[in-house]
Amino acid sequence: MKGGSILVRHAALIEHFHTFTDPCPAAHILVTEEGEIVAVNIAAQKLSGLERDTCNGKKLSDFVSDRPDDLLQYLHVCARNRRPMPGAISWRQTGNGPHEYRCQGFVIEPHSSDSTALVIIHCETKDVAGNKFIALNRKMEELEAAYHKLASHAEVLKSEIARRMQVEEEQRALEKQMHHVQKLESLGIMAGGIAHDFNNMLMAVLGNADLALADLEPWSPVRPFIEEIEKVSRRAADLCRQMLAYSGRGKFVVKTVNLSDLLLDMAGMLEISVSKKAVLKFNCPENLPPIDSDPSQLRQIIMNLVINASEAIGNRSGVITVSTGAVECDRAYLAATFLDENLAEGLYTYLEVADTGHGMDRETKAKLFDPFFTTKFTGRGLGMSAVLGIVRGHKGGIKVYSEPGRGTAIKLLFPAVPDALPGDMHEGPAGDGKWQGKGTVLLVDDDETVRAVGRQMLERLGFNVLTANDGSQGVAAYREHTAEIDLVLLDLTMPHMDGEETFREMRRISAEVRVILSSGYNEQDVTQRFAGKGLAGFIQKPYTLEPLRDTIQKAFEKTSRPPG
Amino acid sequence: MSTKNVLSELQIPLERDLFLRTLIRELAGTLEDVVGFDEAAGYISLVGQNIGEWINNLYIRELAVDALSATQVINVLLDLKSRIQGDFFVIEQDENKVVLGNTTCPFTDKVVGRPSICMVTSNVFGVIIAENLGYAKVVLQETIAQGHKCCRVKVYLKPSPEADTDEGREYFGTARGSH
Ligand SMILES: Nc1ncnc2c1ncn2[C@@H]1O[C@H](COP(=O)(O)OP(=O)(O)OP(=O)(O)O)[C@@H](O)[C@H]1O
Ligand SMILES: [Mg+2]
Repeated sequence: MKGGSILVRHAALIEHFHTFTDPCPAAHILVTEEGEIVAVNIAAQKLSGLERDTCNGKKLSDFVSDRPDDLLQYLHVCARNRRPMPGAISWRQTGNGPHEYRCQGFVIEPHSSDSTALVIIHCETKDVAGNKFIALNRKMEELEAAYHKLASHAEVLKSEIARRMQVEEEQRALEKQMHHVQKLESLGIMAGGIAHDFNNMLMAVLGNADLALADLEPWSPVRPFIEEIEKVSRRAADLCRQMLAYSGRGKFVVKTVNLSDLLLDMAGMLEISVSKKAVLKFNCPENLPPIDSDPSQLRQIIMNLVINASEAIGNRSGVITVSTGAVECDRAYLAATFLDENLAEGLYTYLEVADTGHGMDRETKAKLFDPFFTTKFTGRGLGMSAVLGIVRGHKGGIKVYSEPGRGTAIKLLFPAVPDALPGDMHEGPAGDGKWQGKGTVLLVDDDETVRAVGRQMLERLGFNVLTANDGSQGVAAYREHTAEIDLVLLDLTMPHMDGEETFREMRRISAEVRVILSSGYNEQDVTQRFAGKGLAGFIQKPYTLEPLRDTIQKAFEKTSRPPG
Repeated sequence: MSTKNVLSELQIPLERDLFLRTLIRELAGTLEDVVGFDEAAGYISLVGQNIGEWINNLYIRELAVDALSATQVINVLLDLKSRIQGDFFVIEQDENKVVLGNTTCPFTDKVVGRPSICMVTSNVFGVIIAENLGYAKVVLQETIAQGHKCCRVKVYLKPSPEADTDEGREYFGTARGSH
């Protein structure tokens, strides 16, 4: 049959063929049963090198490398079926693409007495169509090969697998612990941040109240109101400290404490806090190595532990035993504690709260210290995370023993003070409240209210005051007025250039610089950080007139340079 | 007695015919499982068509005709099935269609659950009819493969509105056909 007549006869069909197949990324060929090409879509033009206008009448067998007989037989079968018949085609010339294609062919115009059948062949790349069969075979071969290998190396593999599993197990445990630590850290950062801002506000409240009180006659009727403001503000400042406890950074009133004494002092309060069915036993030897700690924090964690113990006992009868003691801890022992952040080997004083309550399963135990983890209806899930934070702040460790149905024992380890000084480590106030300064103080703080209140206090103490909003301004001001400035009152936590860096810069300008640091963090942390760096003093925020006077007085006395 | 002798006397039903039928069942089953029924049916259709052509040519040669008549075609279908141990029979017939029944499948019970094997029947029938009469539509109404007691195959010999509405496979004559 002449190509031309096909074109005429099937003009509409060819038009349709292009309309539907040209947008399609797969190659389509319209071909007669005898293998004469009628039309090719755009994708097929690219594959074969044929052109739309000149392809008609060319032999498909000239463009593919399949055997002509096979091709004809395939077209022949396709010509018989409306349903697609699977086949394969290898193009001779293709752009960059593969040569081999799977295809599906079906009749579009069946054979009739005056026309040969027209077939559409639609090509798919072998890999794209996913010759699932071949892929499956290949997989099976791989599997079999792997199996044989496995069988021959079974022993070696077994130990290798065991080793890997152990490594993975260890890694998982480590990750878990890190996760915990990270959580606590973010909570700490949050608490620290809140405490910082809060302290600055309290500073304004407390400072202004203080200034007002100083100006009031002793018999003034507004005095009680302002005293009340002061009292409440101090309570708020206390709360701030508790928040910092979560971060494990704030030991505020560090004293050498005998745990046994502290416990026995609390006994009465603990008795009334536990359930009536629980018997509270104390096992507290007298001559216990003391520890450095904030007693109010210790009371808080003892309370948390004992209440948990009582809640675990619930309405049944049970015993809560609170014990203290001392133990020499080596690395192996410390490594088995929950909080092993490179704790130092040595003598530890411990506090253990054991109960005969319902105990914990493994899952609960794993989450015990998670902030907000609770299994109780009204629980907040903060008790144990506070314990963790506080123990951490003491560089201590925690051991947890628990068995479902049997009970729980939680042991806290605190480093014992090597050569303990009895009583308060802090020196009492030195001043008599009458000391007056003179000269110039540079007040560096990023908080506006702190600058305002601080300036008033300092002026009241007899100083000229310069202020700076941040570290770099502070350094600039100090450079300009080095000779005049007798004292710098420097905030530790500031954006960009913090107190530490500012201090360093000022020391570079003059090694003589007299700096008092102020911070919401505790004195011990800060003074440890600045040990041996020539810090003249530290004052914890929020501060009031008297402590400020004392601190400045001491700073001037310590560094003999005469004021002014 | 040597092992060889012991084994050859064992009463296990293993002979070439069973072996081949099992092989086909497994091939079809694997195909169905791996590429799905539709694609498997496509492959098996291809095989069925080639076999259909081969059988058609055998009869045409032996009968020494150019093409088979409608009656001859139906007789061929019945004959070929009995030769391969099916027992096809005519249930009803008119000039447009014929309904065939069958109680034993050439693949025996090996066909159960493997409906793609029925594509062999459909295609062999379809090819023989279409190559001689120019058109066929084969409708597998009931099949042993699908769990029916017997097969019921309806074959349309001409295009018709009735054929159009029935669910089945159409076959067309080709230029090679002898009609
Ligand atoms: N002694 C114990 N025996 C059994 N389970 C305990 C014990 N101590 C703590 N738990 C489990 O650990 C969970 C967390 O304790 P945590 O003290 O942090 O929070 P809480 O007691 O639920 O709430 P709250 O913040 O009011 O203390 C508890 O809900 C409980 O499931
Ligand atoms: Mg609790």
